[in-house]
Amino acid sequence: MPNFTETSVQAALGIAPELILIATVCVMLLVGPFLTDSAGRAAKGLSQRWTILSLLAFAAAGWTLYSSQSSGVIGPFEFDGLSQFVRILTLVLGPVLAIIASRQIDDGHSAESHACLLTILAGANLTALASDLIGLFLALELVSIPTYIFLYLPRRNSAMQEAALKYFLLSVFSSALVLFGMSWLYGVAGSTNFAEISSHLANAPKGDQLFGLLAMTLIIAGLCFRIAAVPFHFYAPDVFQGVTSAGAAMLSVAPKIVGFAALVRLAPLAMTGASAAPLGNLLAVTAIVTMFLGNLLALRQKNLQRLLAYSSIAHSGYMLVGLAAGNSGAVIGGDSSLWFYLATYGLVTAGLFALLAGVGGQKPLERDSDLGGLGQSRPAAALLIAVCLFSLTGLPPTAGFTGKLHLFFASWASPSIWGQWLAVALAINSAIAAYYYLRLIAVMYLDESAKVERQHYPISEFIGGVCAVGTIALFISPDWLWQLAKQLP
Amino acid sequence: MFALLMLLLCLPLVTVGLLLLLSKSTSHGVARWIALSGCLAALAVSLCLASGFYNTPANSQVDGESASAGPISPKLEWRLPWLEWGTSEAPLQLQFQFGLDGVSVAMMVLTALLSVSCVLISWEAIQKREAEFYIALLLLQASLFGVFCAFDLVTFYVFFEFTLIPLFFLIAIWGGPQKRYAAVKFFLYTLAGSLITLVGVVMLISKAIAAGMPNPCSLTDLAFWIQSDKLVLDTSTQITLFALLSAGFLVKVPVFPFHTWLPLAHVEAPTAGSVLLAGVLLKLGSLGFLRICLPMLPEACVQVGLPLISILSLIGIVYGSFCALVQRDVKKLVAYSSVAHMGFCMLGLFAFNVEGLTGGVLQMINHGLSTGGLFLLVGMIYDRYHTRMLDDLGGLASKLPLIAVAMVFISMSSIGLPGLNGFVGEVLALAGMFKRYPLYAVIGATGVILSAWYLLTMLQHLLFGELKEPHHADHHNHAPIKDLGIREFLAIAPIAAACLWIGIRPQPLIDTIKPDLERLAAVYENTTPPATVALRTP
Repeated sequence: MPNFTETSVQAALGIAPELILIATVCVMLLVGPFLTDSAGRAAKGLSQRWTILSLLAFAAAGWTLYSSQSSGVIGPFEFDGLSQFVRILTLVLGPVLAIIASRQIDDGHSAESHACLLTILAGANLTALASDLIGLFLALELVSIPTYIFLYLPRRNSAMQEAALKYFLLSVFSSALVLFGMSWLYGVAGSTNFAEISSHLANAPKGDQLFGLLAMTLIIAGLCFRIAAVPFHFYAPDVFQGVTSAGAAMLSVAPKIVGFAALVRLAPLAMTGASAAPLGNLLAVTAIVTMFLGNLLALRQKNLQRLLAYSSIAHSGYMLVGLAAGNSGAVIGGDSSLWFYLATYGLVTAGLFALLAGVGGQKPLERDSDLGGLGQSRPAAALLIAVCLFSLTGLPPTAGFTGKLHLFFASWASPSIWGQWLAVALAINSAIAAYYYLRLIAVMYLDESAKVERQHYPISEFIGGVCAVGTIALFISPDWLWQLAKQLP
Repeated sequence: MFALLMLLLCLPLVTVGLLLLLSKSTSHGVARWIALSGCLAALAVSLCLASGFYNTPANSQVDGESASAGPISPKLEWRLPWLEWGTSEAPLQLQFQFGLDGVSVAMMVLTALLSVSCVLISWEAIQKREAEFYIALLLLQASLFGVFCAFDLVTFYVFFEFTLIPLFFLIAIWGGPQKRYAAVKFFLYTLAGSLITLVGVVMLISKAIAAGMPNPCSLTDLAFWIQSDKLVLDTSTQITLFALLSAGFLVKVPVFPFHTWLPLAHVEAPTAGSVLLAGVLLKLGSLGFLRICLPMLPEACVQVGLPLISILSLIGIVYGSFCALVQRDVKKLVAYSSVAHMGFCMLGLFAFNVEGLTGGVLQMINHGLSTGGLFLLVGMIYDRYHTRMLDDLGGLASKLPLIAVAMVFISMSSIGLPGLNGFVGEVLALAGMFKRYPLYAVIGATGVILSAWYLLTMLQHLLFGELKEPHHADHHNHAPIKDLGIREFLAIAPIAAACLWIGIRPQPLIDTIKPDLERLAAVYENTTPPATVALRTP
């Protein structure tokens, strides 16, 4: 047995990418206050400099990850396909989020804002790396707490403050649910380690399994808040409407990665024996209800970010289809299809928010009519936004189509009794969703221009454009991403 | 040949790129020249492809074991890897598979031909957002080329679905007064249909994966595995699959009662949009049946498809014809005539014998030519008078003799006058159906008479009798009404020539498409109609 010091060094080497991000955070938080005056103002352009530092940190973390050799369980961390996938995903999406955030925060608060973003992404990675309950909970909180600050910092108006407060209160509540569930799980299994919990529950008497089921239900409820699944979605529309587009972009990507990473880690623990069927039903019903509710409520939204909040809820439903389909389905595993979809969704949705933030400039786009005439006033930006919207609809030739195709296969071949119904629900919902995405496109190309002079953020538009082109490229050659997703358990 | 095919697929995209680059910086009217040269180049490439295809000897190494003996075996095919699903022990690959058979070559030349006419007819009519118009048109052309040479389920579906996007913009931006409603209805209606088809595609591929096929998407492999009983689909599975897969195709064709989006979309679309919609896009539905349902699901086709689709097609023929008869808007009249004519096409395909299939495919091409031509001519009249109402117009033959000649000629082709293309297709389709169910063929044949009725009535009102023009035609400030110009002549003449050529010498075209259809018909050689339906036949 390796001694404690050796294991610690191994583990620290393993999570070097995350340590780089956290070290950058420390630099930002320590240096930041010295660059602002007593009134909280700072030199113009400080935010952009922090963005560059963030990008450098992402690049360094990426390089470390690329050259890292860690595998298996080391200390509290598990280096497997899932953690690898999540880490690549956050390190690719991180720069996009950082660039969107660069112009959405005043320079005085920029250090904290960027530091929070980096912490959130490091926390997301650690969630996927965790191999026991304690580590998982700490990682979840490492995501939640900076999120509150990240949402609160730009506070431009009372709606934004209300949104941040709302997110804070409900998020704390959901964390409590998760913690409560975890303590039950510990009580039943007598261990916090995933492998031990799993082996205990598999052979446990029926009573213990029942408590395991109860614990899992609580945990799923708490995590459903993060992924904004029905019935824990209520905060999403209000919060999305209130926060900046950087906040909304972050909220539609990071908590989903975190929530699904935790769900994929935890759900199999209790899905053994008698608990498998009820939990499978729970996930399937949640998936179907989430899809329908998200899409139907999105139909009537006029506020852009509120609409995208409902769209984000609906997409959670699609991803839950992958989770509910399970991994025993023949060729296309449910988890693999879920992560493939999440990667394409993350790319597209971050790109869309980047484009909207770039087009909006100082006067953010609020209502859908603000997009009016964009097809003529800004043809390139409109085209890229349209590509993103078509990708969210799931139309070829975009990665959204490939993602949905995998979900279809996973659910259709799933042995669960819900499998084929999930596929049918997915098809119906794709048709419903097409309506509101198409409406936005129609507004861009058919309506008259809103005649508002806007100052654009070219860098934000550029990164959004890269994402939009990326979805088409990902459609043409999706194999490398699929090979990564296939490694998942 | 592969390079030529890829060139054909990429040429519209290159033209789009040129349009994006050049149209902003230069003066008005450059876009149409770029688009025209792009379309002419595509036509030239497609003709080269056709002649190359014609000169390629048929697959020589046919043996019973390879897929090239199956019901779908294009003369030339290429596979590009897309997704690797399987493991090293159980390989499972999804591919982009492109191929060329007689049907695809014929349809590609038709698409290229009609696109040139579309650019020519839009020359003056499209003033607003010119470059974007041609970009949408060329994207539509590219995706149509893609559908016709796609020989796997995913590629087919991808191009099939993508056609929606450019056509949506064509109708929504450059359409008539109700353009927005028409475009959204068209988009959502067809999308909903094709999503059901997607579920069917997923189900079919899942079955193929479960049977251990290494290339579960490839149409050639699927058809071969099903024919050689390596992939067994029992009757109830086949019927489910048929119901799912045909949903999108039925909407696209459109078969009665799924046709309601069509008249609206046609009336509101700009002329070029109507020409491509009627001329080529509707054929994607019948092509879907031809490529997927017929070879893969023979039992379901005989037991469910034959009675259901033939009866719906017959209703479509009769109902569409009567609807056409009462229309006062010429464009709507032609749109309803499409419903009727596509009924013939479906009737031919669902006869399952060589005559019927050949007739059905010929009808796909003929309808593309004649209805495309009619929409062009209606567009020309609309450009002159800004109305298409039969009540406002009359006796135009005295004022526009050349347009009148062209209109009569194309109408005759659409009616199916012997010596023109429509006759060949309709006779073969009905003859094929007669072999299956004489009664259906007899009812279908009334459609020929009905089409003569409504088209001749239309010609009589529009072209003959006393000259009647809308009031604003003269004392508006625009130039006096002129007859067919050289540009319009170039748009309509190739179509008319093709109609005549197919009418007089259909054999080369039939020889091109026949080998593929013979292999398909072999699947159905020993099928007998189900008893319940057989009772209805005399």
